Formats: sequence, C-alpha cells, structure tokens
Amino acid sequence: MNDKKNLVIILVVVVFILMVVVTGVLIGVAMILSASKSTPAPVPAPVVQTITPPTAQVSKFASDSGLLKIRDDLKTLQSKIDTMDLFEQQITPPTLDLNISIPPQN
Amino acid sequence: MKRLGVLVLLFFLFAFPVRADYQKAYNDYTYNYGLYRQAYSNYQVSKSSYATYRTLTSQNDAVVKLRAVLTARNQLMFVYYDLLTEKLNATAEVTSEYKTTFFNIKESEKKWLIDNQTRINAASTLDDLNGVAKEFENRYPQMDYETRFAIGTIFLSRDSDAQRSVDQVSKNLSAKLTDINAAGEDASWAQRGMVNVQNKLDLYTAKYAEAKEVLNPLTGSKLDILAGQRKLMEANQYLRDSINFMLEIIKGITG
Repeated sequence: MNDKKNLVIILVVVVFILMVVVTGVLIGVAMILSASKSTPAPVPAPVVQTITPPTAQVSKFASDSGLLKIRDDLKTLQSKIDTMDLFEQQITPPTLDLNISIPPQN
Repeated sequence: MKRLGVLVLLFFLFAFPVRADYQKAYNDYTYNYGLYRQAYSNYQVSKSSYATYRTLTSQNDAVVKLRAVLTARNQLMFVYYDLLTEKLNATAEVTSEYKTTFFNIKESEKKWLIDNQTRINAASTLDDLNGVAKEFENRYPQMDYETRFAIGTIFLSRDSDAQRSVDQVSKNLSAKLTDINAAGEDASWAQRGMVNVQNKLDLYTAKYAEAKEVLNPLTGSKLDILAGQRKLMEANQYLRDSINFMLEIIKGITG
C-alpha cells in the first residue's frame, strides 16, 4: 500500500518535470522563431562598376617603367586641369559707360 | 658650371620679361581704370551742376569734365588692348598665328583711338564732344567682340592643349595594354576600360565644341564669356573622369 503511494508520488513528480521541460523547450523555440522573423532581410550592397582585374595576381608589368611614366603623366595632367584658372578676373573686360554726353542747355 | 650660369641668365632674359611685361600692363590697366572711374564721377557732378545752374562757368566746367572722361575712356581701352596682348604673349598654349592676328587688331584699334582722341582734343563745345563720344559708342561693340574673342581664345587654347595631352597619354596606355596582351597576360578587362575612357574623351570633345561656339563665334554677335566658361568647366569634368579611369586601370596592373 505504501509502495503504491510512493509510485504515484514519483509519477506525479516525473510528469511535472516533463511538463516543465516541454514548456521550456516550446518557449525557447517560439523565441528563436520570433527573433528570426524580426531580423530584416539583408540588403544587397550597391553594385559599383569599377575597372578591376578579374584576379588579384600581380602582373609582371607592375613595375614597368613605361606604365609608371604614364601614371606620372596622368597625375601631372590631373593637377594641371585642377589648377586651371577658367575665370582670369584680371583680364575681365572693363565696365564702360556708353551713354556719356551732356546736352547743351539753351 | 659656366654653362649653367649662361642658362640661368638666358632664363631671366627670356622668361622673366614676359611675366614682368604682363604685370606692368596690368598695373597700367588698374591705374587707368581708377582714373576713368574718377573722371566719370567728376563728369556726373558737372553734368548735374550744369543742368541745375546753366551758367557759363558750369558750361565751361562741363566741357572740361566731358573731355576728361572721354579721354580717360579712350585711354582705358588703349591699355586694355595692351593688357590682353601681354596676356596672350604669356600664354604658351595660344598659337603664334593668333597672337599676330590680335597684335594687328590692337594696332588698328589703337590707331582708331588715337584719331578719336585727336577729335576729342579739337572739340571745344558740348555738341562736338557729344559727337565724338557717339563715335566711340558706335565703335565699341566691335572692340568688345575682339577683346572677348581674345579672352575666349586664351581659355580654349589652354583647354585644348590639356585635352591633346590626355589624348596622347590614352594612346600610350592603349599601346602598353597591347604589349601586355602580347606578352601573354590577360589585359582584356583593361582594354574594355579604355572604351570608357574614349567615351569620356568623346563627351569632352562635344562639350568643348559647344564652348568654342560661345567663346569663338564665327559671327560678330555678343560674346558671353561666362556661358563659355561654364561649358569649359563641364568639359573639363569629362577630362578628369577619363584620367581617373586610366589611373584606375594602371592601379589594376601595378597593384
């Protein structure tokens, strides 16, 4: 009789523990699902068109003197264009008055 | 060492005077501009005084002040032609043909101004002075066109010189890319990039042509320097873009 009573108590405790575990698992799954839903979908980065080589391997022309001279020439030209004065205030035409006269008073 | 000394001397003999001549011309111009503004101010006071009092004294003063302002205006144009001549001389990109053309224009206009000045000096009445003043005003649109055309030529010459240089460098780069391809390296990506460079240079050419129509028009219409300057600024942006593309291509090779 006493054994039967102990068995019932053990069963109740086991069922209670199982319910707690299952509830915990369900809550955990629900939280994971809601977290994944609220994360915004990743926005693809804008595609920028650049002129770049398909591979990163170093060209044997990397230190070619002709190529380096072209680069230097381009930088010189870049600087020349950037500093070109397109306004030249000193040679702006003078503001002349073109209606100069004094009518004689009779 | 002696040769270096000779070179330095030659530099100062030939290079420095161009700058010095321009600076002197600019100083003359600003000085005469000041004289003109002062003479114009005196003329306005005298004109107003004569209109109010109508006395012989105020009439005599009006003749003096009118003659003074017309003389100052002539003198200002005289030195302005000198200023532009020196600016053209100091601008290496302007062709010697145009420099000669403008020199002849300047001489012709100076002769006209001297003749006009002779008539100003000879005039002793307000009527006569008003007559020679009108001669200048009738002539001025031609002078205005010639001088603005010269300014436009300075801008266009400098710009087209830069474009020719960029064009030459792009040809050199294309040739180098051909060499790279011939050496067995794949430079096709860079050659495709050169198509973009050429597109930018074509856009430059079109914009430059628009600027030239404004700054060096074939007909003697009113020449809008500011509008031409804006078009040249737009054109230069295409030159900058083409240079940036080429630098990017080179960076792709040199790393």
